[in-house]
This record gives sequence, structure tokens and C-alpha cells, in this order.
Amino acid sequence: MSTCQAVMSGWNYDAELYAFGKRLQEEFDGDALREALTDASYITKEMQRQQELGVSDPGLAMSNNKELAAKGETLITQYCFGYLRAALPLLPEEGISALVDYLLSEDVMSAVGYGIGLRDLILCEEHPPSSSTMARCFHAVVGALSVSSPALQCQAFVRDFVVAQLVGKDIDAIWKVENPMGVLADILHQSGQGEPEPRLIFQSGQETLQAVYHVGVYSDKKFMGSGYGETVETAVKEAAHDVLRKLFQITDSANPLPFGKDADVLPLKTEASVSLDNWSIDKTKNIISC
Amino acid sequence: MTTKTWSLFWGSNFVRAPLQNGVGRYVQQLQRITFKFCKTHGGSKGMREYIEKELIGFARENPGVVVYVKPRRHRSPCLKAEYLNGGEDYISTHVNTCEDIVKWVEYLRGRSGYPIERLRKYHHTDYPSIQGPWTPWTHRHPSINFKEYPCVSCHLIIVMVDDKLL
Repeated sequence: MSTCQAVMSGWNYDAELYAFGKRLQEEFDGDALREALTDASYITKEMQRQQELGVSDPGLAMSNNKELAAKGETLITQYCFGYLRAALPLLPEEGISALVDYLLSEDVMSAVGYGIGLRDLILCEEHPPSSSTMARCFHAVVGALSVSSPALQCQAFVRDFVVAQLVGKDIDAIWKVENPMGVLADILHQSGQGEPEPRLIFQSGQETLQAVYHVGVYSDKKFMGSGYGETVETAVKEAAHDVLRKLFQITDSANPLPFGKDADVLPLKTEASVSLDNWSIDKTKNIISC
Repeated sequence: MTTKTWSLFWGSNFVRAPLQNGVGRYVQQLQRITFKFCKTHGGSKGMREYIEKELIGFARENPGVVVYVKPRRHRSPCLKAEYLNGGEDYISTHVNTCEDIVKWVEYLRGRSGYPIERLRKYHHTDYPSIQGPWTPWTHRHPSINFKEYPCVSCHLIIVMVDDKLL
């Protein structure tokens, strides 16, 4: 009955599903997993095929993965928000949402689905499955896991496969602050400190192709951060970016995201982080980042 | 074969893991393995012995790998491995003994599925420097730290120090 890749090439679908769960070290409920791997397009196509063959009443008691996908997507969103707010306590809410949007984007979701071997298991019309089908199917797999396992285990699954995609990525590149100098000025104003003052620290090779400027940002004559650029404007922008990175603790030298045992004891945060408009140095002073 | 010729044909790469494998948990990348053999031919003797003695144990120890056994009349035996990242590997086990096949299966079991490439380095980091990239002012003379600013002759001193360093 099934016409996914696994069966078309002569594989045993039951054995493949069993191995799928074992490989990920998860216990899936068999029916829920089957439902999660069944795309709506497959059922439509199968009905049509059977009617063409003259079966008046195709006994297809299958349900598609739409419900499970919705459930899984909510779960992933909730967990990612809770985890990232706790792991990056100084990052404003806008940054957290940008990171969650990135993780939930079709590209990342389908890459994860592909990487855990859904490609051969999905029952759908087209082969190989399109990235939207793959992403939906991965959501549904998480939904199926939530049906079959306790919540903590489901969260660990999301962490190990979804959140882990942030490792090695530059948070600053995913969440782009358009006007860093303006944002920095707002933050310093909120914190009751002086205006940010960019000053040229060094320059070299002016009016050549390899010109480079080193700009530092000061507030109340205190050094906040510095950046480099081929023009003064880019250097000022970079310097402001550098200050923001330091304030939000997302520099390259920041602690890595917690995984494994560290993440098990991490208390998830349900309330939103401070938004960028209200972010000030005083407000975040008492937050201890671990 | 020289390194250059090797790189031209086989390429080179850094150490990598599919899907950040091992950051959260380790997922065995071998997805399925097919043992193809002949039931009567002498070339498949080792493979038949492996299937009789070792295969059940292998399948029990690796529940995440789907094992298929495919008899084919009068054709030489082989192993076909498929990996999660879409990679495939084929090993001919013609006239191999059971012990050889145990080793080949172990080789296939532990692989990531990426093609065999020359590794440029045996380690890899996403953050080559946490101090930032090099700039013309990275390693300046420490005497600058003790300067009182603003200073008239500073510019002159910095130029002199630069000359010494460069």
C-alpha cells in the first residue's frame, strides 16, 4: 500500500520505522509515528489510484499529519523560546524571536528532517519530498513524540536536534540590528549614561584600496567597544555592533549554549525577556548568566 | 600519487559531523545495510558463515540499522551501506573470510556517510579566534600603554615604533 521510497526500493516499512525510533533513542508510538509520516497528498493520490482501479470503496483508514504537525510546531516554538531566554538572558526579546524564527524556518526544519532520515520514510506524492513537506513532517514527528513520551524527553529531543542547529552560527548574523548606533544611543539614554561617542583610534592606508580605520565607542569617556572598517562609517557601525554584542553577551568568546546535563537543569523561562525599547544596563544588572 | 593529484580528484575537507551530530546526542549514521550473496557459490562462503554466526548479534547490537539479506544466484557477494545523509558505500566481499567481513561491517558501521577525503586538519573550530581578526594594530609595542595623552610627540613615537616592528 505504501509507496514511499523505502517501499519502492523493496525495503520493509515496519523495520524501517522500528529502526527510526531506535536510532534516535526514542520510543515512538507506532500509530502516531505512521500518522506523522503520512502527508495529505499521499492519501488523496492513493484514493484516486484505487478509484481508477475500480475499487468503489477504498478502505483507507489513514489520517494525515496536519494535526500532529500543528502540535509539534507549537511544542518546538514554546521550547525554543523558553530555552533561549534562559540560555541568553541578556539578549532582547527581538533577538530571541529572530533566533526562533530562524530555527523554525523551512530550511532548517527540512535539513533536520533530512538529517534524521525522514526522506525515505515520508508517504507523499512527490519524491524526493519537497522542503515544505519535509518541514511539516518533522513537526509532526515531534508531535508524535509528545504523544508517545513524557514532556521532558520531547524537550530533550527538540533541544538535541533543533536548538543544536544554532551551534557554530553567528547570532549577530541571524539577528541583524539595522541601526546599531541609534539602538546603542537609546540604551545608553535609558541607562542614564552619556551619549555614545565614536572616536578614531587608528587609521592606515587612507585613500588607498586597503584603507582601514579603527574606531572606538566611548560613553562618559569610558571605553565601550571598538570596530574596524574600510571607511569611517562602516567602522563606526562595526564599533556600535561590537558594543551591542558585549552588552547582550553574544560575543565569540561568550559561553557556549548548554546541552546535555547542563541543559537538563536549565530552568525554562516563560515570561518574555526585556524588549529592545526598554533594555537598559541597570535592568539587566542582576541577571546572572550561567 | 602526489598530494596535488589526490586533491584534484578526491578533494579535501575539514573534519565535520552531519547535523551537529554529538552536540546533543549521538545518532548512528548507518541507516541500512544489505548483505548480498549466493547460496551455493564458493565465493560467498565467508558471507554465508557471517550470516550464520554473526549477523543476529550485529542486528541485536545495532537496533538503529535495518539489515537486509539478499541471496542472488551465482553472483559474487557484497555489502551495500546507506547513510542518513544520503551517502552510500559498496564493498565487494568476494572470497573474503568471515573475519574479514566482520571487519568490513565494523568499518561501515562507524562511518559518517561522507565520502573519504583528505583531511586538511584533524581538528576544526567555528571560532578560529575569540580575540577577533588580525589588524595592523594588533601587536603594538607595549610602551604605548604608558603614554600620557594627549601628547605632542606621540604621533612621532608611534611611527617610530611601527618602523621597528614592520
